[in-house]
Amino acid sequence: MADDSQVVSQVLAGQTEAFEVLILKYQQPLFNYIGRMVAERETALDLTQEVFLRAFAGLKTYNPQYNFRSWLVRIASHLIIDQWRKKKLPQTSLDQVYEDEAGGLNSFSPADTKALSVTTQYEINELIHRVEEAVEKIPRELRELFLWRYVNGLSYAEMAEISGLPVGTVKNRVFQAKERIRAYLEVKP
Amino acid sequence: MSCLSLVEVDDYLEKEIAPEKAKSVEEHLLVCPDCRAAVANRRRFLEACSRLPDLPLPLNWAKTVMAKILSVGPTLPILILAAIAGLSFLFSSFRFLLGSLRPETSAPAFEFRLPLLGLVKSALLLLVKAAVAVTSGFRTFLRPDRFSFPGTGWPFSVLTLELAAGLFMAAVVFVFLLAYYYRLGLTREKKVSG
Repeated sequence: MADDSQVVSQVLAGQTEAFEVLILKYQQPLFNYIGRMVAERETALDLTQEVFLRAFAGLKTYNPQYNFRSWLVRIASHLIIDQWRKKKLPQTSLDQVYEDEAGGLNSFSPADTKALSVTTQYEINELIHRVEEAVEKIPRELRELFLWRYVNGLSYAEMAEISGLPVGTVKNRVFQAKERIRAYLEVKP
Repeated sequence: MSCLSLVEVDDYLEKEIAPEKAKSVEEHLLVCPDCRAAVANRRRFLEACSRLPDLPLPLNWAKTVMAKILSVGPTLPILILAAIAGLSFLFSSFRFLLGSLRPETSAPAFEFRLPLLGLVKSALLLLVKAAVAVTSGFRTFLRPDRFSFPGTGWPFSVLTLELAAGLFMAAVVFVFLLAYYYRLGLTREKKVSG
């Protein structure tokens, strides 16, 4: 399969149809991310389509040195934020979400068996199903980073670049997201 | 090495630690059953996190998006604006032309003022036209309505069309002006010779 930047060059050279290759490649990961960030399926489909429309319209501004997937995710993230603003959804207080950002993350001890044994209670498929449920429950600022990492497979460096946050902060928040999911699994077996 | 924190377990499983550190973690795991259990549990948890199922997309959805990309053109309001601007410009041009074709019996002073008035009006309309072009072009570039002419890569947009229309109109007015002054010159020659 052609490299993303090659496909972009083809599209910019006038082979508009080549853009479909990029849609086919990224439609599923983008929809997986957007679909879990907005509740309604139709809205998620509209937003995913809008990502590709905007990407196409702004293809000339795309820097081939930048990861194309990250570029799409950045567009998607901005669209989702716009969507939230339009719907006037309540914003989660950053202080509330990240209050334990400065510490407490290293307090885990393997002796804390309750914290870890949760995974032993489920077969992996059941666990996936429960994680899916839990993802919907965590604050969206954390959920977004979690999805970038585990659904879109972005590296921490890529996530830091997209979000404008330091790598350490991104890692920290992804960890918090996982801990909230794990806490949800414990509370609702 | 002491027992692993959960952050260290994650870093180890996701290969986010240096090789030397990973080696020391592995050495610790050989002698610590608690940490081994912790790593095994966490591995399953992380595996579940990274194996969330795909959300189903409609069949041939990529084709639908592609069709949307290829078919999106100027929006109706933009077309109406462009049509109004174009028609007003045409109307002005024709009036200018009619003015320039007034009977030769008109007073010279009147003949002299008329094209000036027409020029001023045309200039004003050109400005309006340019404003409409810039506005609609701006809206066009904010929206993903732009695509390239097949095989050329030239941007095709409302702005392109508006500018092309504007240039065409300007060329028409210029030709009218030339025609008018040529006719005026002929009239004066005739009067002088008469």
